[in-house]
Amino acid sequence: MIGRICIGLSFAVAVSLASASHALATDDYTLPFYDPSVPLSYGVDRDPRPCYQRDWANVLWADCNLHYGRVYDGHTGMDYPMPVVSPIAASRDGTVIDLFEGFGTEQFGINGNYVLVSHADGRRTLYYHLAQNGARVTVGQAVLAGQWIADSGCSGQCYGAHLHFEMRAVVGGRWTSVDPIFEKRFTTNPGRVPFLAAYLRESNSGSEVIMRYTTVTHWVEFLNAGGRTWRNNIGVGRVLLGTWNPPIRDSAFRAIDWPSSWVATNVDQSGVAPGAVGRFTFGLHAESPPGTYDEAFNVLANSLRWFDWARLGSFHVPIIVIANTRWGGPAG
Amino acid sequence: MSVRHRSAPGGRTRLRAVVPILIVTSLASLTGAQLTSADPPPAATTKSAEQARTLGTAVGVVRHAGPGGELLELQLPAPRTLTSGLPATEQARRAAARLLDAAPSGDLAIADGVGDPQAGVTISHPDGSQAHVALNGVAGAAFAPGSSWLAAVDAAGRLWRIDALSGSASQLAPGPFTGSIRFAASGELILVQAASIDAPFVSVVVRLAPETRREVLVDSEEGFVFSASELADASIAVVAHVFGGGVEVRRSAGGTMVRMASLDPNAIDASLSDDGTRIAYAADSIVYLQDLRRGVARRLGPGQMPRIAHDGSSLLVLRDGKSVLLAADGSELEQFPTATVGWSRCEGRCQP
Repeated sequence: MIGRICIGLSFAVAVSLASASHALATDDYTLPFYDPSVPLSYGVDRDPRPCYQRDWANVLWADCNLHYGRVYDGHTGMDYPMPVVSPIAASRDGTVIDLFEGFGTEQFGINGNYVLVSHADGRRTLYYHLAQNGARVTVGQAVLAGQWIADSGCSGQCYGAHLHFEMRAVVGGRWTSVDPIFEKRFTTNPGRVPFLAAYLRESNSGSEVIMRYTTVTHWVEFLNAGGRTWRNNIGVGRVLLGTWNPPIRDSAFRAIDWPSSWVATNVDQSGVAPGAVGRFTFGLHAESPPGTYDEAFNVLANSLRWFDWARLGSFHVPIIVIANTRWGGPAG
Repeated sequence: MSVRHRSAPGGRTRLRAVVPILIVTSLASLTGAQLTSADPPPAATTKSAEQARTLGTAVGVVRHAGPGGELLELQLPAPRTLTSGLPATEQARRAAARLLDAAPSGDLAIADGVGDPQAGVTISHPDGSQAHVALNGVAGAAFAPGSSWLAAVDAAGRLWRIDALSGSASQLAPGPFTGSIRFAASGELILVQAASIDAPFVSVVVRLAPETRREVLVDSEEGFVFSASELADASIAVVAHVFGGGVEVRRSAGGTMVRMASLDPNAIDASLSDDGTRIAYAADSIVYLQDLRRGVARRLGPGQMPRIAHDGSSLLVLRDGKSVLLAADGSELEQFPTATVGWSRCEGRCQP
């Protein structure tokens, strides 16, 4: 049987997300980071009046108090607490149009470090309170959804390390902060990170017993628990299954159908929407001497980001190679 | 602005002559919306000199004569802000109360703490008495000409008029304004107004007449204004990050803005001499002094928060939590054990 370090967690994620699979599933904006456990601490105040607050769930408070998890008065973005120097991702494809990274990572003041991205739909996203020299992009650079663009910090008027993520759109002729959570632009509320998968099942949940010099076919299914559609027909961002521990390792069990020495397969379907199930089918070919082996795999959005292996159920395939008694080659 | 979180463990410098209508409209609209605000004035208290001594809030002042003018070294009450867990350089920034401004009358405006959302402003008078206003965070403050009142911006970006004697405050404008706050010789305020205090860009420079509360747009280049101040020739100098580009210094000239110099793309904490010929700034924790006429930046060594003397002949910097007085060539003239040292305008009248 294949051991699963985080099978319980995977199951829980799968169940909770399966129940939300009816939700809007589009390639829209995603949460601008990778860790799905990061909570929303304060969202956008959708009521412009002082001491009136309307949150992403359209709840109105006629006060100036802080409402953790919801909103505070006058807030123009979404705050996500995270340690300094956490990776920040582009929320959608776009072009970097401005950045500043000169303030200290935790330098308090009115002004802080930021990256500003323009998107094809005319909106802009702002990533604020970033680390000193924390931008991983340059002005004018095209970025892809889910691309690591910056490191978080606590620069500016910041009382605890977090990301201030803000979406701006031209409303009534002027740039205005809008609320992507209220608009359901994150696939689900309060949102999905770009790349996340949860283990569901595989063709053989025990050890694959492979007769030496032969090939068996194995498949595994993962729930697309992230906010991006998995595709197999693009270059950057193509979702594939690659060797892990260490990553990009030549596999001793590469079969003839593998695209490369470390890529077992691309996702089978041309598109796997958020909330849908993606299958990865690949061969395992045994050239190794008889014995017990273990091959670990992880999902990669090509050139962008490896998925969180633990949340993937630490997927690996135990393999037992047995002697080939039918083949006339050397014994064992 | 952002509140405390529970689980928190170079380029193009082309000037645009056309005012970006979107920015102006945005700011005007925001101001209009917030004018309906009925923010209550912050509480004010006063203490006699004896009360201040008894309560441990007395401010000690040591005057130092230096090249470029008089320096004030303040002995301040214990900080309100917790600094544990922060890097040493940032602790130095937040470690204590901060001198905001020194009036010619001898009054001192002191922020209770930096990075403290509850901090207010203490006004210390030459006789040792004090006034305090509970502003809820201090972004900046400056004494008005005549010293009878000071203008202060709180953490929410609101502009307050504070009586120097009583500490009583009334709101001058809702802003939001950033911490850059200066008075022109005419008595008008020169402020940086942002579309949002949470993420203060775009930001523009405005003149505000305190009596009429009328605002006039001075500079609206799309970007991220760090500071604005009036030079000796009454022009307005602006230090700003240019949208999509680097950091530059520009000044108003006949109704248009003219670029004076480009600084390091990571330049922060810029400080201009009164005549606008020299600017000190920090970039990646290195202090530079740049001659704006010749465009040459001299590297003065490690440090933060440079504050240039009014005549530009020397500058104060922070190094490892200490204040250091540097000559224009970078040589160290004097060292002070605390971060709370600032240039005086008291002309000998500051306490004691």
